[in-house]
Amino acid sequence: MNADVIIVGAGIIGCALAEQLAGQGMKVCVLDRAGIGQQTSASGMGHLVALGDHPAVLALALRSLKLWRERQCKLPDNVEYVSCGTLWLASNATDVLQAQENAELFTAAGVRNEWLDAAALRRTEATLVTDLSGGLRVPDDAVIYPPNAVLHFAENAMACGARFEIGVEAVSVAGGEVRLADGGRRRAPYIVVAAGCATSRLLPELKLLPRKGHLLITTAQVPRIHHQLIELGYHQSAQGQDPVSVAFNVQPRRTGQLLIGSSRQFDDESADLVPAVLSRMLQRGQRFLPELPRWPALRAWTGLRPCTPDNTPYIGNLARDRSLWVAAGHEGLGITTATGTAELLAQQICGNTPLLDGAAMSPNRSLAA
Amino acid sequence: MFDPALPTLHCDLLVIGAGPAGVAAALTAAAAGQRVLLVDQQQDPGGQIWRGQWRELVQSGRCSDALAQRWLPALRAALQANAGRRIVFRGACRVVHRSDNHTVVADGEQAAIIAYQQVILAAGAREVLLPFPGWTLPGVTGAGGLQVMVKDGVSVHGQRIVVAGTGPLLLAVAASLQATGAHVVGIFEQASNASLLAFTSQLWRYPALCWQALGLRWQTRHIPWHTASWITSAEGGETVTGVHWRNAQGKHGQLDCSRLACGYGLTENSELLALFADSNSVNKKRSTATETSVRAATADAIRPGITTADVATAQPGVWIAGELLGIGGARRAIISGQRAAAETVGAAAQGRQLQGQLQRWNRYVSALAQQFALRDKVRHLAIDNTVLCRCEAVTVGAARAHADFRSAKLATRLGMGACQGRICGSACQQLFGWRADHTRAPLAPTPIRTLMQSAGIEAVAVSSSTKRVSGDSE
Amino acid sequence: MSGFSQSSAIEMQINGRAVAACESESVLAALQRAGCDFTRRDQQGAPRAAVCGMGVCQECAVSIDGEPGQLACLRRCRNNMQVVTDV
Repeated sequence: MNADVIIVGAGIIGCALAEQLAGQGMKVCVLDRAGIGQQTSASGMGHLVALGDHPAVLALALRSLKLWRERQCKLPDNVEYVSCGTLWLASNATDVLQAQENAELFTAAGVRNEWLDAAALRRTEATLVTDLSGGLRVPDDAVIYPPNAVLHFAENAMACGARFEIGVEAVSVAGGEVRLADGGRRRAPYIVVAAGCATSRLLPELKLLPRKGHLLITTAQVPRIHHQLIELGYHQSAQGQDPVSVAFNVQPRRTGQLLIGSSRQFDDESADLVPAVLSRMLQRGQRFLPELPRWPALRAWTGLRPCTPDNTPYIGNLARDRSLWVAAGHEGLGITTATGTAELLAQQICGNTPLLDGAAMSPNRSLAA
Repeated sequence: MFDPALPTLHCDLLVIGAGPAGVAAALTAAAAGQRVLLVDQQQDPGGQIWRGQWRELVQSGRCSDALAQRWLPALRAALQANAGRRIVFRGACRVVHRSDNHTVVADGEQAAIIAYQQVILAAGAREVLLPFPGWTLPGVTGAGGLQVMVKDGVSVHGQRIVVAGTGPLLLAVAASLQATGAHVVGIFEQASNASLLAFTSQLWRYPALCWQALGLRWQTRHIPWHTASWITSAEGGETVTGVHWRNAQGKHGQLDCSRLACGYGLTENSELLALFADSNSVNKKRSTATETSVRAATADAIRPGITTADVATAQPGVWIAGELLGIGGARRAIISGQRAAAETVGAAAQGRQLQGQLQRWNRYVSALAQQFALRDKVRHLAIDNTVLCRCEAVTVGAARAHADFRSAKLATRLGMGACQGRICGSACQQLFGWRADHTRAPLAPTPIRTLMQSAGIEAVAVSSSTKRVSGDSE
Repeated sequence: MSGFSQSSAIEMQINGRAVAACESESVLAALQRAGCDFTRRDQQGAPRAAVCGMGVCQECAVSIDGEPGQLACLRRCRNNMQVVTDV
């Protein structure tokens, strides 16, 4: 097959993009050394959340959420799309102010939101600690099961003729050519690197650091939680560049299990659990869910978020080599923004007027080291 | 608010698993001067083979099992010694997580951190439970599984029971169930007469086993014993009421029963091994390997091979004993436990002598694996709508659509349930030839507070030989 | 069963009902005596019961004294123990 576009990376970004481009009639070839949705896409929480430090990222997230909602009824049941909404928890006056700011931003952007005072919060979520100031409810946020979402995108792409080559590792990209570890080559006028944390191996000038996170899932013998719960302090953890930070985040899964997070650290690329960080994360969880320590932990694991210096992804065309494109560096918003990222990059590649302003996400932007 | 940190127990030698291998290892090491902490997930020592024997010892002064009687009283005496006590036993204790080379987190009735110099992994074996239509019905259990349940008080008096699967265990199970008043209506052994003959004909090297086999065959002489036969399905409403069987000649039939005790041999509890593999070497292999070969890499990183008599692992100070060396029964387990303990104190002469004894058992281990190997028919009893992963109710058909264990796991949640792939892992191996995913901590579902409190391990100093063994004891 | 006759008779609560038991038998044995043929229902509502007897299959997980996820096959009965199954 003479591909029009080669996508390096079959995670959620690569597969969503493959679906878009193949759906528009391009001949798409996707390469991945491990499989479909096997790395970061398989390890995260799967939240679809209205969140973004930079206004451009928030806009990308909001556009993405709209696209997710539009395709909700076409998603297979095993993607487990649940519109449980997000409850942003306020523990103190600072949090309350932050919540008000967020509420204004959301309202201006047409995102439904509602403030719950302490009493309403207690009625909504009985498992929560009772000394919180209140919560900001964003009902249209959702939760999905990412591995099956990635498969769904890939299957749609394949149905439009996209070809997936698994077990194939790219070692360099330049001038419309991908060189492979086994010595082979693939050529196409457009090459997109959507390789998550491995992106900087192929495009070294794009600063990307893996940011390790811990997650823990319980058995199903736990009380019911109805919303995704996130503490407002999550903003500081995600957007800051602290070496180690934790922020409370819990997500109900359709099986009745609870998925508990979150942690962020830069210093460590191994898959090993770090007891001190895991412990700190769980202790933070206990502050919001007093009964947490009794619940049975089934499994804990780690994943690596691809993180850029300004917490904004790289989406766009490389100025130094017009055959090269990139869609990577989404930190904790890869699942959320997969749909919007795919749409934006597809618009850029096909020369259509992009709906969103991609300047802030250009890979050519100058970044403080 | 929970306590900020777990209590720390110190020892020279941690022995994980108090079955025959662990008990022998603990006693041997203690006799050589080691301060030993012996732990087991059960409340009493004995493991599976000697289940219930400790209770008999405590209540009546004797174990009914002759081999247990040679070891458990000595353990009891050692635990009760006042002066210079060298062994502490901690029951209802599972090692769930490891921090570094000298500390693990243990869960159980009281969670704790254990700081050790050396460790012997003697976690034993579990039954291979293969899927077949109706296997999830209440009343369908493992063969060894039913035996241990009965030893701990479950009553099968007057019940019609079919015993099935493969291995010498089936006769022992049938005999023991019959002795408690059950009506064992048939034993279905999938191995052929030729295989059974080949197996028994090499037993002359192991006189004790000969006597045992003869004794069991005599006790079960009235029970219809079908060879080259297997159960094709179990039927019933909310519990099992009957089974269908078939044999290699094509003959088939049906039997009413209220229990089916079916186990297809034993397999090592190897998850513990993965916990002790050197994470650096595993991660190095991981970065270049796909997930499906990680478990292989992990196993290779820690252990040479299945039938080897080598108690050493790739990690200094980490030893294995018992069924972790490959399924070989209690007597071999005891020798391996003694050998591992000898190695921990560098007793070279004793080690060599035990190595010789251990190697005598290699033929038995091979014969067991070879003569009771599963025939294809039995591997493929399950049909597409048969549940494969019990915990997540994933069917064979749903799993079959994927290329390997990890892909199937991510897409269907197979192996992500409470047993963390222990049951379906073997089944996937037999059905599809898939290698299961690598083990993650915690090794068993554990209260979150255990993981919250275990951050203290990084601050724990490696124990010195002047520290006393601390903790509970019987 | 050897040894059980010598252990103390105790009383415990299974799903709210008082049940007589022996101190050294497993919670699984007490569940059987209380007529609990199964310990949980699966995702399709089918009943499930203990299979392996040795802490592997997790089918016998029950709540003991308020702690969820306790394996009935491995735990011994205690006076006043409160057991709740998943059904």
